[in-house]
Amino acid sequence: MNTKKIANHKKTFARQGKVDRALRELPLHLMLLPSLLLVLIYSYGSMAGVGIAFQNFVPTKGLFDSEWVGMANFKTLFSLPDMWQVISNTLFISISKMIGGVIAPVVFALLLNEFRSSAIRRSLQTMVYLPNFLSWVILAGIFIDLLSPSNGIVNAGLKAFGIEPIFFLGDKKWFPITMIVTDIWKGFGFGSVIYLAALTGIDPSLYESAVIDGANRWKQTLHITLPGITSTIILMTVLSMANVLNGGFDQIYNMYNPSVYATGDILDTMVYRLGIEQVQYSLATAAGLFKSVVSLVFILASYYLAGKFAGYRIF
Amino acid sequence: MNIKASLSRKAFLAINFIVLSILALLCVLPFVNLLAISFSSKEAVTSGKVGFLPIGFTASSYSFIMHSPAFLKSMGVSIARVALGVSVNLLLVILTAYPLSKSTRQFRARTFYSWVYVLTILFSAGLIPSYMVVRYTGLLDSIWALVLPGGLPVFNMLVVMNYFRSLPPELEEAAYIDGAGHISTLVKIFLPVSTPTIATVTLFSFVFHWNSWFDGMIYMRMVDHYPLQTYLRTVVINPEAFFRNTSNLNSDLQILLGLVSARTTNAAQLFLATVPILMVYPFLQKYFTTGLVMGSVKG
Amino acid sequence: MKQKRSSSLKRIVGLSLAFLLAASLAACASNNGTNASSDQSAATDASSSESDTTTSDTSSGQPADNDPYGKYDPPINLSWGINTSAVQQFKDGDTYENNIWTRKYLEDLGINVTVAFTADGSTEAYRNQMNLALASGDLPDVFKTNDYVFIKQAYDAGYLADLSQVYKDYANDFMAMVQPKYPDSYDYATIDGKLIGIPQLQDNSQFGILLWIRDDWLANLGKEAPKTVDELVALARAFTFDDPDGNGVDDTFGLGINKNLVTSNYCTLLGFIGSFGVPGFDHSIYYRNDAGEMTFSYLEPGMKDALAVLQSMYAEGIIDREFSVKDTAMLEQDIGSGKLGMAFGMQWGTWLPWNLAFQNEQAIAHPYPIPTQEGYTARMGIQSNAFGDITMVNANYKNPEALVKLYNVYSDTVNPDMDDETYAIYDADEQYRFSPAVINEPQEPTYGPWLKEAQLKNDASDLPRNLITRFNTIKDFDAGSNTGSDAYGLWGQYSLGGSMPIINDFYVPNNMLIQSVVGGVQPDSLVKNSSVLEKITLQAFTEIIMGADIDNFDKYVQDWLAAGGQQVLEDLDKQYPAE
Repeated sequence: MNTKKIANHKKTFARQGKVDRALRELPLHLMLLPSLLLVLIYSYGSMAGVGIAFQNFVPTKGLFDSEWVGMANFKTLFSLPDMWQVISNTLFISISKMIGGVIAPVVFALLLNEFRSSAIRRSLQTMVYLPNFLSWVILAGIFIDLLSPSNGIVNAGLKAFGIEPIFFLGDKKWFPITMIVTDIWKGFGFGSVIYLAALTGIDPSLYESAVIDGANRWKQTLHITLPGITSTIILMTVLSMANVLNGGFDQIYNMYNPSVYATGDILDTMVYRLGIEQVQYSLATAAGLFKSVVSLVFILASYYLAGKFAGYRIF
Repeated sequence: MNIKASLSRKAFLAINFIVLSILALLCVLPFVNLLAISFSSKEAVTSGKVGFLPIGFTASSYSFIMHSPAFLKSMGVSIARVALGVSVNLLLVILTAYPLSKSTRQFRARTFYSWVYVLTILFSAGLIPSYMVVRYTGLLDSIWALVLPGGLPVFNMLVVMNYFRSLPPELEEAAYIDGAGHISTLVKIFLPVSTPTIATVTLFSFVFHWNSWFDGMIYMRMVDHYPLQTYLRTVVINPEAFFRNTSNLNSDLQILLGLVSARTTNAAQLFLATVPILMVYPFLQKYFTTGLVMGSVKG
Repeated sequence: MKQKRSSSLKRIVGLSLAFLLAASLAACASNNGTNASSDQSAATDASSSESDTTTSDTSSGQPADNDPYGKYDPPINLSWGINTSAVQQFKDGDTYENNIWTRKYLEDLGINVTVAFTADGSTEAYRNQMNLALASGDLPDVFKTNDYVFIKQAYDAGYLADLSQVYKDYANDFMAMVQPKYPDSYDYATIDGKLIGIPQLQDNSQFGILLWIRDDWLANLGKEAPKTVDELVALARAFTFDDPDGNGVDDTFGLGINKNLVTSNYCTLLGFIGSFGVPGFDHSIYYRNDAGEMTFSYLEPGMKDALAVLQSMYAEGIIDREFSVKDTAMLEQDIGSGKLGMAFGMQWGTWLPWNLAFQNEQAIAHPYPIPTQEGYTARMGIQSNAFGDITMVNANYKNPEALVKLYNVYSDTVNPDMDDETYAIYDADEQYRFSPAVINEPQEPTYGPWLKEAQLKNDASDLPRNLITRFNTIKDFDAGSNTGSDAYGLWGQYSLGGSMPIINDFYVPNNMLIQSVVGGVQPDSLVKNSSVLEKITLQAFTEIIMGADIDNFDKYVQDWLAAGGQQVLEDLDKQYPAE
């Protein structure tokens, strides 16, 4: 009965005239109107400001009277000594963080999901969610203590296993790895919230029928749980591409030092040092625009890949 | 066979529990350290002795804060901001996510609109242009300057849209047949089954508004109007930066001693500033219950 | 197919619409901006021509003559941007709008001081507000910054009032006296021969570096303060390995160094390399060497020798192996917990960081001149005096002389001869910050010799009133009757064994302090390249100390010159020609 009705309805839908369709869509446009206005004013309204990247911008002259210099700012940026070193540092750190930042929360959410007791789930969840709310200024001090080769807890642990102390924050090899691991540690709990929410959306009857079919927990996870949150994982992965050149300014700025510049100096710290002496808006905007364009390319690519291979268009 | 399976399952659960507990502990320790510092004497803190327990226990940092009008005032600004900001965010997120969750067949402009929104995540024009727009829309030094420019959190909107799209199409079609319009479909059908996702983005909005500090620093022209995190940044100064910014060193010598004990009061302020976030989460957790949703529809 | 085309067409139309909207918004924003700026420059022209023709007769409600204290009736408004500090305290319900200074100025001068904006000065907040105010043409009547780029832009846009004439006409005796006394500072506030603001008074001789050592550690090991670099290395070794605190645990360090090496107020290399004739300070010391060539301090050959010694100290473990991650906050912990007993630092060492050791263990530290090294003349770098805050007046403001009057009243109120009550009301506890006009005559170089003389005579009767309290505090600390940490701080600066006598009586007369030629006015090449040059310097020095080949220093010099340093030196050579 019901299916028949829907089938009928589909037919009518197809026969609808253009006017009807436009009328049917009108409320949808109207619903977008408020947010569209805000976005046009505040995001696109100021976006004209990227023009600064192509200017020798002088605040008192404004966007229209400052001198246009074409690509000169980009040339300056890329002629900085170490620029390519800095970009490769940034890419290594940010891409590792992106990968870890997607995998760790998913794994944690799945492991947590195994517990039946909601008391355990809730308390563990609340605890891992804490570090996200401590700023790197505070955490940097704590990590420098914890990771000290002479009297830090971590190295004391390594010593117990007969491993030579590691100067995590003062050793070129270890510094980027330390940044990646501590960043994932800080964010995975908060990151898992979204997956936990997605897990609650999975239809429990699917598990019931799987149990009847004799599927064990592993198979259930593989064939029901993971597919159930795939769309969220894809969405988060694609959106994380926006960070492809964000190495994490606050973290690195608070923890790096001259002895690890070779592997730890990233785009944002470099731009910060450029700007701090004198406010070089043009150069900073150029760097920002460069980051945006690269991110856009990555987002487009992953959007396309997700559509092609997962058959899923995120937006 | 069955017993074997349940045995290995138990072992798995036990190991899982231990591993996750250690992980959770690692996440809590820095926080405990902060708390211990906030309750320790200034001498113990300056000599770096405080670990996970207070040394020379004192609550004076807290009583000091309670007498500091600046902290309480900025706390008030933050609360107002969160209330206003989260409401605006939620309203716009839902209103925007619903149309965009339609298929291209149902809403032909959706892809175009989606990109209009998504591009805003990627491109930002920087300090001066953003300031100019806020200034010309007359929001400077008003709480709306902290709410409207980021009125639509695109990321949250995508999360909700993604969730709406995962709902079975039968839901909507049934509503359509019953003659429901878009608004009533959204309110009566979509929202009730989306509580976990709505709870998630509420949390995100809350955290975002509570933690933001840069916009407060730029758009507020009076320090009295700073939200909490902006205020906190001004007190968690490192003495070095302080020295290098004030060129009149001599008469500022007095300040230095105050700064020293600043570590304990800073710890206390940071702790107090985090409490609301800690409280809001367990409250939202109760919406993370199962989705009976799908089952009820499909049957 | 057809449908597809039409939809993509629509998309293009839609997109261009969106951009049109954006562009028109931006255009209107910028239009307003330009209007404002052209208004401003027009106003500047008007006011300057006005002042050309009718110098004394300015706008309404004013005293007719050039009375430095003439009261406005009716009162005029004067808005300013306040650089606030978290440590600032209000007294008795005062606010930024209504406080001890606003009431005084209104009463004495008929100037109603109002607040244009307040922003925190210890973070980037104040700087941002100033730059945004500049960009939007919204500058207050009176504002303050030391940023030359800002000043130059504001000047070029015609936003700054020319104070040359009003300063001449209205300055009281004190203000007229300081102008020739601090020529470098006033130079910095002068563009094209026009005085565009009132500068902060600078005398950087007080930034000479001292070696601070804990008395009890020296006594425990039966050692003397080092006179040569060799003795310093030996002492650092003893401090590291001979258990100077006598607690039986190997937990002490020799010489404190922070990760930024040359930037900070204590625990830097500056005193150490000074012994090798390298006059360093931050990354900012450019000067003419003995051969008359423009040079940068860290390129000096003495630097290489100093690094070689530091490298061996690091290898030996008498410099903290973990110095490369420690900032000064962490070193303060080492000092506060009695793990570090020796470091180079500024003259206020007994305030910070050594006050921490005093508070925790009543440990006293003394300052000593930097040690000597054979074959080198000890030298230290100080920044140019031609750099500091400048208080400016908006060109649109009708009464630029009001600022000079504020300074007049301020100088009459806060000065060395004020009594304790005035000091407590107007100056102490950061109260001076509420005044738009602040005179911060460097105290140490001025007060140091006065206090020293009084102590030698053991007679305070010749001292200005405000210094008598300090004199008594120092005496009391010496006698043991005042053991407060503030007393210790003051004592470490001004007592006969304190830091100021070393600077005033040893460093200054022996010409050991080299002033950088670079003031606030910097060549573009320096502005553009400084961050890169700093990175190269820090990276090379850190690596050498931690064990890289000492000959990397020669490569560093080449790298530095190639990365824009050569250009900087050439530009400076032109900008500051040899005399």
